[in-house]
Amino acid sequence: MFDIESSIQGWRGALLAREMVRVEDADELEDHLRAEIEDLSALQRGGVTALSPEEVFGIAARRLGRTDALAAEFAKSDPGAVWRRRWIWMLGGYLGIGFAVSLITTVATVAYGYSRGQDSTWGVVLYSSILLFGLIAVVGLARWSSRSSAPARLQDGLVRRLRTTAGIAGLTLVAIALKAAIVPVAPMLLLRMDGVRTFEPVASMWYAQASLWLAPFVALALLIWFERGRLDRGESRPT
Amino acid sequence: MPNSLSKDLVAASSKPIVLAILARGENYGYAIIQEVRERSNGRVEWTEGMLYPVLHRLEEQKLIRARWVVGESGRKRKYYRLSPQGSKSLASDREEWNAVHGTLKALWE
Repeated sequence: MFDIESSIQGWRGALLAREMVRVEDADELEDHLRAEIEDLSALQRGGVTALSPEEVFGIAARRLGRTDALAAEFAKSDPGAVWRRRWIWMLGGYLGIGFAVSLITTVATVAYGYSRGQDSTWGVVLYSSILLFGLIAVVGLARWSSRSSAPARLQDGLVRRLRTTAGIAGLTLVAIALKAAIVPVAPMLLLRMDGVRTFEPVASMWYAQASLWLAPFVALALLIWFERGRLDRGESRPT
Repeated sequence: MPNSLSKDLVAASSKPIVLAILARGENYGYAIIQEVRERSNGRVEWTEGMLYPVLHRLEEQKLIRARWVVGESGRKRKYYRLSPQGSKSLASDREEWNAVHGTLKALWE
């Protein structure tokens, strides 16, 4: 028995499996498909319905075009969107991990100071400020990305959920690797001459610390900028 | 059966046509395609894959604005309308197209 509702859901799922189609786009196209179905269902021949539900769905879906072709058209309208969304996830993952690390460190510092009977006020102040920064950044990013409906809601199909999860994990790893690559390099760039004999890394100095924190963001911003520039040029080329 | 427009001409005319339709009032994707078909007597046949990216691009350029409306059936529908910038853009499009039209007409007379 043909079930038109499950066919529509299947069609929507195939559309959403494409990375460049946002949930909002799928909503709009689903409404279009349903309007088409309504019009076709109303067709009559000799006083009875002309088309079976299966035929109606087939024609309506065909009119909208194959889902992959449709998705490709969407990608063309904004080629940078997919990458911007990936960078948002990446940044989110990076901030999320930084936040988790600060949280654990704070708890550990407080516990350590407490167990040694020491005053750990300074440690708490330092790490609370990092915590606060992390929290503001994560919340801000989440709000911004939800407003631009960038990382689509996760409830749309198992396939999308798996893809998104794999995507976040992969991109977070890239972000961590990026930071790991910068950590040994940054102090070397900020060497302090200690007499004439040794070069001592000055990772403890505030600007070294700041550069460690800022470098991944600067790198990300640069990557986004390069990516946009490349894609914008690609868009203006006649196809 | 009249010939349909060439691909290049369809692409070039999509923006002024969308703006001109929305200048007549708020509208949504499916109805816009129907309207284009009717007004052109079937000579301009738009595909969905073409229209929605155009709408989204115009929305990004702030020439049109969009809002979601929940209908009686409980279904969400995205409606588009012209923005003040869109009206200006349509006016200059109109001049350009009239200039082209006038030139060709004078040459073919």
